[in-house]
Amino acid sequence: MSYFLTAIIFLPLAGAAFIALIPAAQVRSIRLAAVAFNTAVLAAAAVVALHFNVSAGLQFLEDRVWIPQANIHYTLGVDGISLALVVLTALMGLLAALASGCITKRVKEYFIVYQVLMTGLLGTFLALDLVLFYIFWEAVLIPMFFLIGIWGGPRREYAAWKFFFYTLAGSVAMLLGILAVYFSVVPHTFNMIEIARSSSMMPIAAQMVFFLMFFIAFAIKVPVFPFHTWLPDAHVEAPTPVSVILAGVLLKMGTYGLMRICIPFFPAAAVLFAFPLAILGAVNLIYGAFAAFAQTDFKKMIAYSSVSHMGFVLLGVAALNATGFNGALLEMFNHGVITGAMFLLVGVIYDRAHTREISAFGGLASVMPRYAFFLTFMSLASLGLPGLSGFIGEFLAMAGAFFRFPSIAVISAIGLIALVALFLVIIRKVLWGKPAAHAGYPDMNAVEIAVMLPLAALTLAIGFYPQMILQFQTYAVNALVGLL
Amino acid sequence: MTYSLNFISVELALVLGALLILMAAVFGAGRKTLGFAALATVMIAIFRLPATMPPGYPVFDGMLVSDTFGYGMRLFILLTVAMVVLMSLAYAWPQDEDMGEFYFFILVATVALNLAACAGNLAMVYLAVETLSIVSYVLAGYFKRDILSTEAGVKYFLFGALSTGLMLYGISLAYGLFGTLDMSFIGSRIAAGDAHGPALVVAAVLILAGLAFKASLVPFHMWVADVYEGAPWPVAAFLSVTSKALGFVLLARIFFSNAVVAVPFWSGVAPVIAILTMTIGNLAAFHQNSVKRMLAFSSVAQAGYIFAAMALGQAGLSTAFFYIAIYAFMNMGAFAAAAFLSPADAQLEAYRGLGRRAPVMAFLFSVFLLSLAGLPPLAGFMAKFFVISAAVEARDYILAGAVVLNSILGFFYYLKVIKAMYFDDETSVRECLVPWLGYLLVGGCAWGVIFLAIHPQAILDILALMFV
Repeated sequence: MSYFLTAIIFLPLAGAAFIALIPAAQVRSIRLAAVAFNTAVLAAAAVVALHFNVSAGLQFLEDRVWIPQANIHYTLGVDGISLALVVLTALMGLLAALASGCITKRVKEYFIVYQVLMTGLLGTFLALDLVLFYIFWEAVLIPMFFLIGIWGGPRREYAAWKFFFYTLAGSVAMLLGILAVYFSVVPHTFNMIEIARSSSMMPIAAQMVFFLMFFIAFAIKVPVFPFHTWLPDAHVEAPTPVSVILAGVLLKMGTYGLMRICIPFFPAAAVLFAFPLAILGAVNLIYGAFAAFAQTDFKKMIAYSSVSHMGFVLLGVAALNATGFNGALLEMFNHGVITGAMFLLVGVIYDRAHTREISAFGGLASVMPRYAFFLTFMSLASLGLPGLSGFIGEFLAMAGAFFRFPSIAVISAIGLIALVALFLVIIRKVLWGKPAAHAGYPDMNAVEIAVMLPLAALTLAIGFYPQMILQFQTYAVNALVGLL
Repeated sequence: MTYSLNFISVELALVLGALLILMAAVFGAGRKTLGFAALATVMIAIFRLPATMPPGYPVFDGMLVSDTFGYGMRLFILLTVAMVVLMSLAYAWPQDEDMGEFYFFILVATVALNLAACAGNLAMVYLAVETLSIVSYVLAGYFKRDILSTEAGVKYFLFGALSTGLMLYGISLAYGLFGTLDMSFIGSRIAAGDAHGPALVVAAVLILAGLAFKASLVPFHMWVADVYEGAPWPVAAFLSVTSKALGFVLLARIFFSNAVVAVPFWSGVAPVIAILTMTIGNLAAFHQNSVKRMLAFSSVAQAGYIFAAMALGQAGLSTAFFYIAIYAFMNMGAFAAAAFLSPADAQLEAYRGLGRRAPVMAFLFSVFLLSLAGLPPLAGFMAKFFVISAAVEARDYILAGAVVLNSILGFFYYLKVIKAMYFDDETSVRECLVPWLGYLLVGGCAWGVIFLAIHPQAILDILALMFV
């Protein structure tokens, strides 16, 4: 039995323990240790990706009995649905750690909490036992609560509480759902593979109830309109690296849950709920884009554009066909990379201007040309310019949705147009126009560029050769479609 | 007779130790000496326990029963009392109180607890509970010159006298119905259907009232906050863990082991009490400004979760004791950490900024609070998970939902303390010195909370032996 996935999950935790031993005054060593441990995690994730068999289902399986009396196992595994997300988590984990230079108070505590958060995230994507999944899912809450509440902006406490209670309320519904499913499947099991195999036998009414119990938890995490209100607050108050993790990885827990649990466990309910789900996706897409327009805070704009982008993922999932699923999965990865980069770029300018009011900027292109390049590049990726990665995911998701619900897909195009306009407006307001009071800002430094480069490279590479991600997904997506 | 004497040799050792400590105090032994003597006495009792095996024989003509459940609970009581003694040793006693009497009372209370845990006769139950109560009144009011502590003692006495009086009345009704106080005989008569009708229900309700007082179930929880607030921290920990657990032990002995008394009555009333207890405990805890009062109401809410498992009947019994075992670690840890962090002032403001001044202790305190709240992957989550799981299995979705909603409520006030320690700026620069014994105790509890989360079958295996 391989211990590889266990190592990936608990390496960050080991990092937390290691950092705890470094004296708090040695800030440099602490930062180095955090970067080193996250590099190790990324390397391990890369090894898994390299050894991943694209024509097989779950791999690197680990299964140990944990609590025999309650039939709880320690089961891990990775397949096409989770692989890209594990790599994404490891990558964003490293880049956000590199970008944590803006954290100057209580650095040691920051990185300890940060490392614990990474363990929770990686565990969520790798767990194949429902109880284990729930434990990792919940383990994300408290670190995020601290990261926003201690290192956040002026309204950090409000944002931290709001984040915490929204997501907690969702996840307890899921806990009841987990237990209800456990006692409904025969034989009783928490094993997600087994449940997916046998749960379609459940009566349709039960499937619908259980689907909704899980859906509430996932919808809050995604976030699906109208559960989205925690997101702008959390994003605006969170420090830059935490926003990167929040948008890049944390939101994916929700859509991952939809594809890992809601659809394979309750396929009949999924077919029935596909239409409302598609409507929610369209609402997310359109509402998010227009709400982003109404913001004056740069970061809040990006936060709402996240809501909009997650609408694509929901549309792809609701399509319930291979094209849609592929699009949804790819968009999850792309959104992590692109929006993560966008939040980093917001952070770059915030570090210099100490404001995020979009009206305070203007003409930055002449002062900070490298910044202008990256912001333009990522904005274009974000609005779905063909040739960059965002386009492929959005296109596949929309194509899949069009196949099943053409009218909703057509209406969603309103959001698409709004997104294009939104990012063009951002470019215009931030980069062009008359330079305001910020003539003396230094351009992006080496670290900032080093963090942006891999993201930009990935965006470009996937845009031209989407197969580099899609090839990993195909088998799992076909298996998922086969269940329906 | 030899078997009987051997059986109670554990308790005899405790009595002997208690008397020696009282004598030593008269001859001017120091606080530390007395404390370690008490600890040694409890340790001797723990090591003596296996020698009182095997179970299964009548003790003193059925006054006590020797069963695995009793052995398990005696071990539990002794271990938690050892923790209380350890906490008293490390605790910064504000006044120069006479510690000899304190340890004497603690050990006497332990004897009463042990005897109650093995009681096979309702007269024994009453005697043991009354002994425990009288000693507890004194312990709650131990700070003689402190007005709050005196108030705690008097309040505890008044409520206690009422509820033990109710219980005594219930026991006398049972005697009138059955002509005996032997619990197994009464159980077999009820199981055979020989006794029913309103008198039995009244007797059961009255006995339940007396035990609900010990277990702090609504509506017999009113004393909790005021008594805990006034009592010294170690006494509050003792009341919230050991004494509370005894309430559940006797509930199990009287309402489960010897046939469930009046089943429709139990399944109708118990879930309501459970839901009310957790909800009222949580709602009341939310408004407290004192960490001690907050923890007091939290322990009421926790009693509600434990009773929720019991409300499910025989199926939930072992789950309830699984919860109690984990509760002992996390609640003892929380009380100890809170006491060490701020011995004199329990107001929330006193805890502000402690995350920086006392990083280790504050971190461990947070672990206990989060465990009480039921956050995965800590042991408190496992405990709640099993309760919810048992409720869902019994298709009691209302009870399961109530536990789930209440655990959300709980997070509000547990996190308030953590917020004060980590988010808020400090208001004082008071040094926070904790003796190594304190770290030993709190570290041990933290180990329990984390170890039992990873390896809960350690408790489950013991419980499987206890509930054969």
